[in-house]
Amino acid sequence: MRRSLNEVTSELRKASLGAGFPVGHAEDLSKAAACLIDHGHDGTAALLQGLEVGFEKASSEDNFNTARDGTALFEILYAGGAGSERSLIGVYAPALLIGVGLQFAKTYQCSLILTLNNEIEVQLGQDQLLLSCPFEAILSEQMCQSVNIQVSQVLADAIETKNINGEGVLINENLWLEIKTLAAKTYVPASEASRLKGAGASVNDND
Amino acid sequence: MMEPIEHTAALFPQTELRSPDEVMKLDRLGSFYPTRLSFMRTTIRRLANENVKLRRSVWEIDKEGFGRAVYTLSYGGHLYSLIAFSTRIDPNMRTDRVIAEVWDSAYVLFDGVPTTEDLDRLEQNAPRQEAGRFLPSELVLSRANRSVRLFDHVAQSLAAGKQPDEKMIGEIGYLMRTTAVYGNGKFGIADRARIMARPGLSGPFQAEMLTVWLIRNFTHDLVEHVAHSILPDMAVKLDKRLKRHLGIGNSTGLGMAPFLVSHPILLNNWMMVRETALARVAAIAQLDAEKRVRLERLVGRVTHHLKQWNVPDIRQSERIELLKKEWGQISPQFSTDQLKKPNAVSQILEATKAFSLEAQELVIALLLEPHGDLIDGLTDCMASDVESRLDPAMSVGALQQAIENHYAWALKIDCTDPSARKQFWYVSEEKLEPRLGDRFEEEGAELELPHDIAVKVQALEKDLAEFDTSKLTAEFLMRYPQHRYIVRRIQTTNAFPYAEIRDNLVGEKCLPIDMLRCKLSFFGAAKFDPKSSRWTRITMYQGAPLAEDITNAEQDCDDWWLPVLEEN
Repeated sequence: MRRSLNEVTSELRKASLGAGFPVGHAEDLSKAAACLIDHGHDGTAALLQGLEVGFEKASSEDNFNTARDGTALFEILYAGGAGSERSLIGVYAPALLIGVGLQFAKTYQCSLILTLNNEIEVQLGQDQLLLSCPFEAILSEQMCQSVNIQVSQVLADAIETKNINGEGVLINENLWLEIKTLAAKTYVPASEASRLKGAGASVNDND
Repeated sequence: MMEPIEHTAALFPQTELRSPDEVMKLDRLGSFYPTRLSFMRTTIRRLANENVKLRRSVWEIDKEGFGRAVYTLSYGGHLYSLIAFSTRIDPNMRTDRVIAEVWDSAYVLFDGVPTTEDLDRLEQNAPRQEAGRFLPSELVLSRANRSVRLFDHVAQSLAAGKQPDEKMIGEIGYLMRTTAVYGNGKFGIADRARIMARPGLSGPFQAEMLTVWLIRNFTHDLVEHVAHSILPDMAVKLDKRLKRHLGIGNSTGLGMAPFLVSHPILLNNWMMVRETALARVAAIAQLDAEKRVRLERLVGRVTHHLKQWNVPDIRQSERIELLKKEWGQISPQFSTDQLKKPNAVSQILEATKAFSLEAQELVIALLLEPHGDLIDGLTDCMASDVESRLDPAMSVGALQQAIENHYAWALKIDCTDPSARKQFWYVSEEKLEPRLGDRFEEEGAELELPHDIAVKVQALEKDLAEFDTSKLTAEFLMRYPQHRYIVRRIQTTNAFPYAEIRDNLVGEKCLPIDMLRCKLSFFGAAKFDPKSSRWTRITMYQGAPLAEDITNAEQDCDDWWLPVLEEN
């Protein structure tokens, strides 16, 4: 079923909240996933992969929690200026890391190069996502042994993906169900009292 | 990096903008009046400038008023169609609440001209609203309920060859009222990206405002059709004067309030435009004769409008009564002699400060009204395609300064006092209806929406105090990731000063109705009629030009601020 990108982003945001992430993270993660979707990739699956790790698991020297710390990492690198570089070991949800980086590159109008396991190269720019292998291959790995991130360079011989933009997107229905289930955790169960008082209107409000 | 916006040399003389500390308070926001900068006014001006013709291409409505209709117009170089479905429902099921399952009518703004297949498909889905599915060819989705009191009365009167009771028309003001107008990708309809570059629809809520104007037109046609069906040989059409006074009602509830919190840059832009317009008008050294005459005429309209503005809500009716008394003291300032004086506008504004907020904001809206040549162009600045963006390179020290500059109000609140945290905003699982709860008496506060800004600011300030002020925000957030949301908000307000409502939205004293009225004033809604502190009825497009007026060169299509029903 085709859905609008706004509808999808909104639901992904709620799913991130439902998975226990604070609202600031939920906003960024949903946009990161939406960025991937807008480029024709399975951002939903990438996000769910990242959410599985949870917010409470802090990153360490040999484990990086993309969903929790991905955006902050790009921010630190960006603040260091062009040429800044960082290497990570044991990166959870590398596909989501690409989405986070893409959203970051788009927002801050910068270019980033990610190198996964010393062999897969990803170039991210404003609305540009170039991969040296199919995205599905990256998505199939829950954890990546190493990721090197560099602010700015140009890559040749890569697979350029298109930005879909504007006509709605297709989401895997099983994954959508997972997303809706997580999102539902953000809704307060109804009660007779809340139904009567919560909206400030009686049940019958005709004129 | 997001830098604070600096005022470059203004194109027009202007006074200082009012401070956000003054303007962004709930009680002032809740006193706003519609102005000529509103979205509805912008829509009508554009329609008139383009001389847009409305064509009714489908009318499959039965004698009782049920069926479907299509209206098409060419606007900004694109064709759009309103598709209307009028449905028989059990009157006991009629409600304006989000939890409603059926409605008297459903609408779609369609991108282009629908085929029969489109109509058939939408006939299955539009009346189901949120339960239906839609395509990117659908730009806006809406629904409306009949005014039980007025619709039948008008139909019966017209059928009998008479015009309806003017007092009822004046009191109610609409045949139908919308209970939701959805855009921007909800339920599968088109993302805003599809239309945001189109002339006429690029401004905020322009697609929605166009839809509501078209719905109004449909309701007029519908009641005349039903009247004609009752007694074809006797029925008459609605008098144009009365027809113009019939707008579209709207029931506005809590769902609209969080919008102001979740779209800070957009809110800033709306407020900045309004305040800049005020600053330009306030700087006028000498009003010309045409403006003076216009103002004097509008003063009479204000007097008349206040007489016709009667609501059952005690709080609002007390405010209106006070306003009427104050208006008696304020209106003499708009005499010919007073308006001829140098700096008349700024003097009036200064004098009005002694009166209630309702009076102050009414006077502001009045003063803006004749000055379209000076301020209408500002409406192009009301949209925002910029998203809030964190500034990772900002130092912790600068962040602390930003809090001091823009969130001093939040630091002053005693968040240990239960009354400061009494309320919580949430989304109910029941049809995702937005609701407000009592934190100490109801379940669910752990799922609250992030409107407890003051609480978050204070928690942030506490952790910032432990951090090296020379370090970067990015480093702070790596250590304290839970503050990401509020840090972004604070940095946004630093660059966009009107982005934040500077009041406690979860405190005992917070009245959501103030937020609703603020947003509705930007829509252009009038006859604010609160039903509780959490929802209100308003009327849109009351007094607005009809479709036939839009193409009538002799009709002034931009003179319908504060509509009154003139005596016949």
